[in-house]
Amino acid sequence: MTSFRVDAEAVLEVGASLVELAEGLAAMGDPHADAWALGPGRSGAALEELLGGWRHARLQLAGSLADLGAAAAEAGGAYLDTDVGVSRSLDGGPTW
Amino acid sequence: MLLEPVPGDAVGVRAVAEAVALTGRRLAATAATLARMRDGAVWDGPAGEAFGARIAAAPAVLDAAARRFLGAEAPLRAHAAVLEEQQAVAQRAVLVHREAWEVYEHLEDRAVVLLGTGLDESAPALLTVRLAQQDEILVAGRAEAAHSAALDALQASDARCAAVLGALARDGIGDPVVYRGLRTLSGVGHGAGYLAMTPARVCRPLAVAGAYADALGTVADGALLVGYDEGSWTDVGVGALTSALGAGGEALRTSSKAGARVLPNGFVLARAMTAEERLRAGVVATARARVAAAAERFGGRARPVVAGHLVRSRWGGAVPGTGVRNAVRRGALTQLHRAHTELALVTAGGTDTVRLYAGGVALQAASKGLPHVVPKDRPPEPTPPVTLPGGERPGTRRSSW
Repeated sequence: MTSFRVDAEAVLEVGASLVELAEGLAAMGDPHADAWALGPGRSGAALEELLGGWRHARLQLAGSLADLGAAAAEAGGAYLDTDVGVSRSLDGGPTW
Repeated sequence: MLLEPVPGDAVGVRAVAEAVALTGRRLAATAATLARMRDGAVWDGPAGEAFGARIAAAPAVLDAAARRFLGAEAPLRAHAAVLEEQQAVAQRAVLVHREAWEVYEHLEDRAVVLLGTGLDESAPALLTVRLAQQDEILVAGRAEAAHSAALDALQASDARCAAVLGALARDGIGDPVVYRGLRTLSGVGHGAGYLAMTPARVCRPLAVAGAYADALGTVADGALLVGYDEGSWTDVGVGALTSALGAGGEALRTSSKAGARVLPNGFVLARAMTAEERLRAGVVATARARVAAAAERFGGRARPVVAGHLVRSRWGGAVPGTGVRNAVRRGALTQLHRAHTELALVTAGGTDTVRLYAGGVALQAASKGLPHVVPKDRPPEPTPPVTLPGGERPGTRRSSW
């Protein structure tokens, strides 16, 4: 297995990315305006269905990703606390 | 009969194709990142393990959503190309056809003039006019055929595009039929509910129908709450009170303002969002704030927060002068101005947002009044020194995958 580094910053970056994606999903608007460009045929309605017909799953996904992002923030913060403690203990100082 | 131009916009279709591809790539990249972490990362510490466990349950819907968006790009671009080409053909045909008929009518006027001078249809001058008219009819006929062929080509391309998009939509994450029905009932019911505002003296049947429609919308809302966990106040309340007492109220308050913003001129612009969308947006905004707060601990790595505008308010005036009294007065007025802005953002969204805001404020107030059910943060316990690989700075963990 390939090894990789997981540090607080990386976790927070993942969290920020998740939250950003969640925001985009939650704010995804009505695709009716986009479908207009296709004209009066069947493809406009099909596009509308494809982009807008998963509203329930989309909102659930946005909520899940936002929760994951917040969890990443907590994990990143906890890493930082621990690492600061480790660093201080290595320096011979207090570990709080 | 004149030919009609073909509606549609190839540039717009390409823009949609680009947008869906971008969204698809983002969704796919996120799904891949989560999959890598889920399959290979080793987490140290309870917070990291908890995060890892949550990734393990990461929604598979991400993959399906990515496929939806990525798969839509190719058929949209193909259709855009046909649309562009055939639209140009049809447009040329429209112009040629119109011109041919205009010339024909001009020739007809000329023929009427000639007939008025006493000539009959067998006169050479009139025969020339009639021949020219026949030529124009031929030109118009060819234009009609070209227009019809362009429409046929477009129709075929449209059918191909619709078939691919339709197949992509059958992926298991689409909204169930009952859900769609409830959403429609809710929207139509509450929409027609405005009729209930009609004074009974003016038109009692309208007012009664509006009241019934609104009640139907409310019933549909209830069914959505129970059946699909959509806009679930119980979930929000219990979840907020048990896990993130303050954050839940904050999310509700934030969500009540989501979609509304203050323009630079001080006016509030409200965007039509459902209660559920506001709720999700509020949760996302709260999560964003928590991520930003954590990132700030790295020393200024957090993204800059754009200061929001404040609404026009009687509290917005400047307080001149120096001294403690004026400073206190300035601070108080600023607080009032901010509160006024928040209320303006909330009320811009209508009854739902006010209800969300009230819920959020109540939760936050309760979180201050209730005894703490969440244990306070403990100071970090002394950690035994560990051997860090050479050259690595503190703040990193090595995992394998």
